[in-house]
Amino acid sequence: MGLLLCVFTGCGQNGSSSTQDTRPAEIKPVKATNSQIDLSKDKDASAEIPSVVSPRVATKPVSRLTTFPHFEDIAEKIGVSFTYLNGASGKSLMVESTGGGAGWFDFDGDGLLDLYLCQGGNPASENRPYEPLDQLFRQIEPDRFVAVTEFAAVFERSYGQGVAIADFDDDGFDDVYITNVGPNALFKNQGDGTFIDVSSEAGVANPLWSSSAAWGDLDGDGDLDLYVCNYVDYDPYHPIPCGNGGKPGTCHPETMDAVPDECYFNRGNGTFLPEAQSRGLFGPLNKALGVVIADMNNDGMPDVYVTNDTTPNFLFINQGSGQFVESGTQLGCSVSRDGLPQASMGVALGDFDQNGWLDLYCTHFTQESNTLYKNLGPTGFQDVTGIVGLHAPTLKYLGFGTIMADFNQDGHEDIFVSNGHIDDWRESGKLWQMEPQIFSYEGPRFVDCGPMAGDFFKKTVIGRGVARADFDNDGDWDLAVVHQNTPTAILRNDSSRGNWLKLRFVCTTNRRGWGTRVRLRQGDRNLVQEMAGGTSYASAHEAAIIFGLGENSAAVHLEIRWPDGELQSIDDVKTNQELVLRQPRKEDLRN
Amino acid sequence: MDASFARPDIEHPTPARPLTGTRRWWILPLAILIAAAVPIGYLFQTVMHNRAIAAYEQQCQDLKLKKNWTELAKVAESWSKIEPGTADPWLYRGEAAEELSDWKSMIQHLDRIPRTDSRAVPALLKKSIVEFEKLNRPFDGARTCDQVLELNPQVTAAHKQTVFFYMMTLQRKEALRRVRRAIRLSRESPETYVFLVSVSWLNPASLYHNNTIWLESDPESEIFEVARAMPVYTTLAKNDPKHAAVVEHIPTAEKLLEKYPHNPELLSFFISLSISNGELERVQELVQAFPRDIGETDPRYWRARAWCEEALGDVDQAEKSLRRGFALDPYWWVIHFQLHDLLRRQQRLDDAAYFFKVYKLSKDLSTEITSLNKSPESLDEQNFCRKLLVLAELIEDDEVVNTLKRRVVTQ
Repeated sequence: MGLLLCVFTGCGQNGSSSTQDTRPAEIKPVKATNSQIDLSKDKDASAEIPSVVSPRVATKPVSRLTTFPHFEDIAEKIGVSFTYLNGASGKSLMVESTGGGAGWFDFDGDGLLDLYLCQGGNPASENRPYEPLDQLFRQIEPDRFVAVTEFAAVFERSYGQGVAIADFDDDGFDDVYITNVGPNALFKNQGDGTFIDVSSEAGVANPLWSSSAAWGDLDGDGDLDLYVCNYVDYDPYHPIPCGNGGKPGTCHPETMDAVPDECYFNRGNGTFLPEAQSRGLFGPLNKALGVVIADMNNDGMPDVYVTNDTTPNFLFINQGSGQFVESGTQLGCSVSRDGLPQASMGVALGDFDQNGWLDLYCTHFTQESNTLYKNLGPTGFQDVTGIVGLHAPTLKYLGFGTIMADFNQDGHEDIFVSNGHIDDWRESGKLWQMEPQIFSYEGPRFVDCGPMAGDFFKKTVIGRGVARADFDNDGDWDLAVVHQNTPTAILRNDSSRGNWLKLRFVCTTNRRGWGTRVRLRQGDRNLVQEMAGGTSYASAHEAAIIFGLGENSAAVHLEIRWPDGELQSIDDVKTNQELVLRQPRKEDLRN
Repeated sequence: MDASFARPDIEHPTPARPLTGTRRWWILPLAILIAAAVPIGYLFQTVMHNRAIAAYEQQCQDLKLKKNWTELAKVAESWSKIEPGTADPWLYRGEAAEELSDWKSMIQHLDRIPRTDSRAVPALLKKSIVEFEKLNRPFDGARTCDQVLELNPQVTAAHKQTVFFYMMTLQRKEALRRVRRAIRLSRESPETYVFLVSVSWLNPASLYHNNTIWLESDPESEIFEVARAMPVYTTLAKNDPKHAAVVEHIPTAEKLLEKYPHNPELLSFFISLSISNGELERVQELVQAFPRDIGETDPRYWRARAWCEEALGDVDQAEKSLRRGFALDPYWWVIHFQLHDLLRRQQRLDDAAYFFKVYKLSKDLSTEITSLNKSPESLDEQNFCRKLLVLAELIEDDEVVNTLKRRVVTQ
């Protein structure tokens, strides 16, 4: 019970309850607007804003922003010693190419983020019980992690691919869903530092080869549903031979049969029903690797975007009542600007052009370039990759995990991409291990700032999942980057950065506030972010939003749309602090 | 003296004595003989001639049976000298030359066959094949096919050969013209439809092989050199590292563009790259490098113009340009997609929906065509034609609809 209390009342950063609590006070509910059209009209809200808005961390001095984002890999220093093993034995089994992922969450409610990393091993092992375990690293004190996997009873030895994290039973403790080649696993957080596998009881043990997964309240009933990406029909125990001239190679997805994704709808009693088909969450040639759950058309309901490998991506538009219609091509985000389906892997989400509509950035195979779909609003999307200078820089790379965020908080989104080939074609002059990339939006074009972003961007690796979190609680996004067969990196964000505002949420429906959308106004600046499910690749992020505000430290106006559609405005919010916003209860609003 | 002035005696000629019956008897037979001699002589000559021809023919047949091609060539040559206006000796000479692998002679002989002879068409077809394959004179081969079609527009093989040649040399406008002609005459082979759908974008891997050979016949040919290089730039080296080494001798696309700065294939290739890269000025520069007459009739030119116009904010003009491209090649899926995309963003949803429907069909067909690169035998003709029929109906291409309906029904 103590841990439960810690989650929202704050237990201090060392995990113990303390009178010297440094956690932010929560903003009490202010007047919620009834208008779902224009939050900005609710001018009276500011009058009720409580003045108590404690910063979690002291504001860093803001220097003039002349530098790009900068990161340092401190995994070893902080005790995160983990290598995802893909079990490559020279046979080039297809499943070797896609794992693994990472997930940030505060599993013990001590106010410090912990890290879950899924593991591979031998994909065709006859002795699964002897395969390596996934690993759970607990941050026992700031910047110090310890593996607690067995203490936490997370005995997961399947051939892991990715992680999705959310509090599915709304008990205040985040639970972990693991995607595998073979049955997936749902580990329920018991609130005492241990987990229990409830996959079968919950009915979410998807037996196929899954890649990414995402949580979101898709039917608007207040609890979180689970979308699971399934890739192709491939059995590592009975693999079909692929390759060239007798040399084994990873099978091309075009030669493989698609398998449909699944979407598990939460019944609110700890069990789920697989209803993708009946809800309209299906499409042809579904070879999914990435997923986002977010409101793409600003109608207040979460939509689902799915990246498919070599086939058109899907955008399932929510029709209400948990019914969806696939509209990707009609809305211009399923194929490239040339009308070509691409080998899509991961997907990032953000409003790079600050027009109030969320844009999508998809990572792809070599020679395809990653694609930036600008969300134009009611008319759908436009592939602006070339126009913003993102075509050529990614052509020779094969991207997986990707995150759009304002890493250096200059007021513009940046894009991080983790790269690495699926096949070793070095004999043919192709890259195998690849440098990660980071692009900074310098309006109207992105600039490749990898060479200036730190030594990590000079190393070549086989990059896969990327998860973001402010694990050191300094108000900027840090990253966990999973590599195949070389150590996972924990990138501390050391950028010379601008002003910022970090928000976390306590929601009356799903507790962490997945699906909450925030519009921030600061003078002419108009930023939108959403607590989206999924994004990146096979990874889970901290349940928070961070706005970068550049050199402007002035107080901001927030317009919040909670997952259930309730609207709230908060005026005069000071910057350079972390806030936990609690959703007003309806009775509070009436009062 | 007087006597000297005396009139001389004038000797009056004796009047001709009329011929009596006994003196004229031979005239008639002579006349008859003379009259008869001409036809008899002619008859004789004809008989002798026919005997000679029959002898030649017999000899030729015998020699052919004996496969004595050298002798056959000689005999047929003699025959052709006495009878140059008939097909047979030239056919024998052609056949002998063919068997002796004397290709140059063979095509000369076949070319002598009178065009009025029913065997001229197959002979010319044969000639075109030799020109294409043995003599490596592809342009001559194409011209011969055209001659065949002048004699008989119903010869499917000639249509097929010319369409193939113009597609394989990326003379797209010419190819499309011939594709249309074949369809109009209902003399299209199944692959005609493949080329109809892909005429604006297809760079099959076989371009490299075919044009490598043809380039030997004319090493300075821009057409062959560019056509050989295009699949290297677009497909081969990109997708299969093994090919990268094989095609090392191909100049870079940049170098080739320097050499042929107005070549529509190279310009289109670079336009496509620059559009992907969002390079407005570069695309404008390349568009301007299109020779005006070529650009006007090239849908790729209009697509590029539309991209520039939209980038500069002139959406109306961009739509007009795309529609120009659509009119030039109503089967090019890229134009369909661009029109759909543009109209969707203009919220002209009905129009956008129409082009979306068209795009889905044309993209589906193009995907099928692309897969033929890997396994050409995999074309499911019936299925392809059925899908194409739906597309043709949608874009109201009656000519293609009518021909395809017959084909689909008869299948």
